[in-house]
Amino acid sequence: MAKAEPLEPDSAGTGGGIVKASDFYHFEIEDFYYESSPVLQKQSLYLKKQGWTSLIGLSGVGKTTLLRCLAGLNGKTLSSQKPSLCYMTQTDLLLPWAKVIDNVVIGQHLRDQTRDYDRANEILKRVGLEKFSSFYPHQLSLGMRQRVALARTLMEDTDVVLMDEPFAALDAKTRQDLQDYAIQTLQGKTVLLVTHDIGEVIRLSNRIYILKGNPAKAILVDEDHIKNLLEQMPVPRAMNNAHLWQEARCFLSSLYS
Amino acid sequence: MIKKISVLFALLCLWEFAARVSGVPIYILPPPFLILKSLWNNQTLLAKHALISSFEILVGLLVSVFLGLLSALLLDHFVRLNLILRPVLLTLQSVPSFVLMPLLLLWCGFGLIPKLIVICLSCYFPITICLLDGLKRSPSSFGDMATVMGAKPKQVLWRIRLPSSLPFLMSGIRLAAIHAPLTVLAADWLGASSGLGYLVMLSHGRLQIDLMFACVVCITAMTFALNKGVNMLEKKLVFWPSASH
Repeated sequence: MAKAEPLEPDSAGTGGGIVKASDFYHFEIEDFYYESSPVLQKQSLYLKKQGWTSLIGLSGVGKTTLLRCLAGLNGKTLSSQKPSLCYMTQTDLLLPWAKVIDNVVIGQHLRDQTRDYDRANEILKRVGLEKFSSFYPHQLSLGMRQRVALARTLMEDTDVVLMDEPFAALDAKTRQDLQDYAIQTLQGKTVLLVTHDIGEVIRLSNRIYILKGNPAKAILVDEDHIKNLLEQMPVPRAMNNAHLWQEARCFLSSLYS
Repeated sequence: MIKKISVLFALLCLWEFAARVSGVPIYILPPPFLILKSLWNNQTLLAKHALISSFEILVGLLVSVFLGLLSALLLDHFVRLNLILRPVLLTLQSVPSFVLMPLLLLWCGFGLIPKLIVICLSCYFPITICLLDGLKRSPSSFGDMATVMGAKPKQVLWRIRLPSSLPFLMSGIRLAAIHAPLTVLAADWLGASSGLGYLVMLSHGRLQIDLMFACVVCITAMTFALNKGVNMLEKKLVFWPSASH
């Protein structure tokens, strides 16, 4: 990859214009094969700094694989800026033998660093769980557990947060609450959200990629009316403009096929 | 609990009644009261042999846990070694270890050592194999998370994979705790000068069937206490529900 690429090429290939490269984290993903079948083709992904980028696509197309490539768990991915990353999955991955507070500081513990319990308590307070620091994960509800996972992510304080359907296992109310928590607490972070939920995409994203094809490639959604919606309305977007939402939903759904 | 004790008491009463009414000689089937009397009269002798057997079982179990842990970690680390040795371990597990007792007596002489070796052999395999399974089945998602967080393989092993394998290790210890008393008795029968198994054979030879039954009571109590201890340890170490894992 060129060291200082001044402009982002139009990923959608529809003549959607150019943007400043410094506003983005650029990842170069190599071809990825699973048991000799191609899953992902070589591609570039641009994540808007301090913004939410969503990645949508049909089941089995390779969304999680792409996310794992970015996390360095699959294949080879290059990034000249080398941002620090953390990974939040659909299952909260809380260690059942560790207390909530110990789960929050697990990153430091795993790296043999001094565990900063003061900061962990502060973060738990931000996600509304300060009273539960000495609880074990099995003593918490699903929504609370996901908030602990969010606290653990915040504790890592990385540049980029990769989220693989983190709200999928939750009921509608808890999901919305947690989305609001995530928007508040992840302010200033660069987020890549993998999701199936078009409503979630419209509510949270500043930018949308659709993963399609075989082998799959992420294509930027660059249609004007979607772009306008994403750029003009701040996140989390309320659902009060039913017409706009319906239109966006229909458009994004049509892109799946 | 009261219900269980009542049932046991009723069965003992029935046995006492049957033994007295049927006229079966006491050297064939002694009544429970006689066994109780024998327990009381021989308490020092029984306690001495029970302590020896308990010591052998506990030391055997502890040594097996240590060796099992070490072997499982080595086999988990060296994949090729695991591929070669795992079938051997599985085959050896199915061989009753006390059949080696005559050979061990020949090599090591009478005493504690051959018995400890036999107990260790019977406990070592289930502990090693269960822990190996646990390490293998440790959720890869935890490992992935730890890797993304910058953990090295050694830290993933000690802080993620080993704690997540604890339920498997405890299953191994539970199996070992079932094997250990049986092995210690069998080893006593094959050649020993102390232990409850030895006392069973001795009282059998002298037709002291009441003492033999008293030994059986002691062995049952010892096995019960061992299982209770393992249960308590499991509750302490694996306190989370399996679904949350």
